[in-house]
Parts: sequence; structure tokens; C-alpha cells
Amino acid sequence: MAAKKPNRVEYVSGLGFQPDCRAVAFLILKDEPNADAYPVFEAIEKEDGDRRRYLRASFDLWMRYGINDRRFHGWPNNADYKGCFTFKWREKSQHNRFYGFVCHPRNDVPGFQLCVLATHGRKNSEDTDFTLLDRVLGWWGSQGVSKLIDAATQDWLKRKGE
Amino acid sequence: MKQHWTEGNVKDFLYSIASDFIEQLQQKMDELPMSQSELAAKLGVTEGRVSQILNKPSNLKLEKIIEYARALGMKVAIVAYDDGDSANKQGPVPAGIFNLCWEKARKPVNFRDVEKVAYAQPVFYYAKPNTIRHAETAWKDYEPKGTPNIFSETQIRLLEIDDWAQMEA
Repeated sequence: MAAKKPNRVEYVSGLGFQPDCRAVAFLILKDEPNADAYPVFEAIEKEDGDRRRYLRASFDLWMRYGINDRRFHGWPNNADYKGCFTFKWREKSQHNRFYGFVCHPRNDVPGFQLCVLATHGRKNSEDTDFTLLDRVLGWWGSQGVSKLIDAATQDWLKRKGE
Repeated sequence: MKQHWTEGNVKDFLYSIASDFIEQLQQKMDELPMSQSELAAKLGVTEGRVSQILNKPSNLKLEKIIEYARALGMKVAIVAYDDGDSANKQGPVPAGIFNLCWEKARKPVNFRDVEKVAYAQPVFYYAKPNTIRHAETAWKDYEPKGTPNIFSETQIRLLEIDDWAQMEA
């Protein structure tokens, strides 16, 4: 098996394969300590607990076009952060967030949506930390990240979601 | 293709459908509205107990499912279905989709009514040309989430200006 590249976009496996609907992925950038969503997700994935299940159930629901602001949402009415997206969960009194963006990486299927999660936020209130969203927007706009998304998408399609 | 995460073990599958059920309760609580403390009072338990049930779906027992649904004025059905995915590569279909389909079929309560639905002609809504955008949006709002093809979009017929004039005449 080929070694994984240090900078990459990793599609979340085990969520089904619906290449004309939606999928979830993580952005991994070796030299960006703030792109820390993936290590947090990896740690959660190692658990056999409800935190892992809660997060995966949220991914499932979004991928099936469910609406549930308690679990995830975007900012469709905010022109500056329109494409940003978050998945949320609570641990005791702490609010945890994965922040990312939703893009359309398939030119042949424009309706396909990929949610790319990039950074992790932890806080004591429900309010959004917009500096994290600004960071996400910076990554989203970069040419390098677009190429990583394209490469990962081609690979994901070839492997049929495995 | 790799199997869906709920195929890993029964606990995973159970969590997925139990949390799906909790979402239905929470939606109903928002709709009514009914707070956690009001629900607790209705059930004769502490608010902490309600919070525990809502936040720990994997502990749900069938008895509790019925108690909580009834306290919110709802009933419960346990549906086993064959979606053609016996290897469970795509995961469970959300209960909300079954519910939406049932509502769109005018909530049949016996098998005879289901037959009526099966033979019923689709209802068409005609949209005036200048309301087309609105009609499209209205359809999208009403469309069952995750199953865009269950009910055909032809249920809204978008008319050209000439057609509309003809209809009005």
C-alpha cells in the first residue's frame, strides 16, 4: 500500500457511497498546527464509545440531507461565511466543533457536495468563533487545497468509497 | 465498497436508530413546544433523568421509547424493511423518511387506505409563469430529505406563458 501523503484530504470511510449526493472529508496539512480536526477525529475513532457514534450519526444525517441545527449547520445568511460548515457535539459543559467548508468538487456532477472539515474548536458557550472560520476560508481559497480535494475525490471515486 | 459503520456491531446499529428516535422526540418538543422539565413532570421523573435518556440513546429500552413517545402525544412503530442493501453498505434509512412518506400518502391507518393511495392519480399543482421560482422553492421545501426521487417532481407542472393563458381561458 502506498504511503499516505503528509498533506491530503481524507474522505471519511464507512459512511456509504453516494457519489451524486454528499460526502465528508478532513483536510490534513502537515505544517498547519491549526488544521487540527483530523487528529481529534482519529482519536475519537479509536474509541468504542458514544462520542464516535454521535459524530458518525451526524455525518449520516447530513449526507441524507437531514436538517438538524443541534448537530450541524452552515451560515447561509452570512455573506462572508456562506460556504462554511460545522459539526457539533458536547462533552459535559464543553461545546466541541469541527469547522470546515462545503464544496462541489465534481464538475460532472455539480450537485455533489463535499464537506471538508479542517479545524477543531472547543469552548464554553454556543457562540461561533469567527476567527476559526476565517482560518477555514483561508485554506479553502488556496490553490493547493483545491488540488488536494480534486486528487482525493478522484481517488475516492476510483475506490468507490473504500 | 466498505460496509457502513453501523455494520461493525449491534451497538453501533442500535445507537444509530436510537439517536434517530431521540431526534424525533426533540423535534416534537420544539414543535409543541415542550421543555425538558415539562416532559419530566409529565413522565413523573427528574429533569436529569430525561436529559440522561435524551443524551444517551444507546441505553434506550423499548418500554422507555413508548413512554417518551406517548408523553409527547405520539405513537411508535417498529419497521423492518428491505432496501436492497443486505450487506449494509449505505447504513439505515432515517425514520424521518418513513414518516414523511407516510404523511405524504395522507397518513393511511389501514391496508385498504394504502391501496387507495397506490391507485390514486398524482395531484398536479400548476404554477403561473411568474411564480415558477416560488413553486420550485416550495417543492424543495416539501421534498423528503434524502429521497429526492420517491415522489416525482412532475407533481408541480411549471407552465409556459402560453399554456397558462390557455388554462385561464
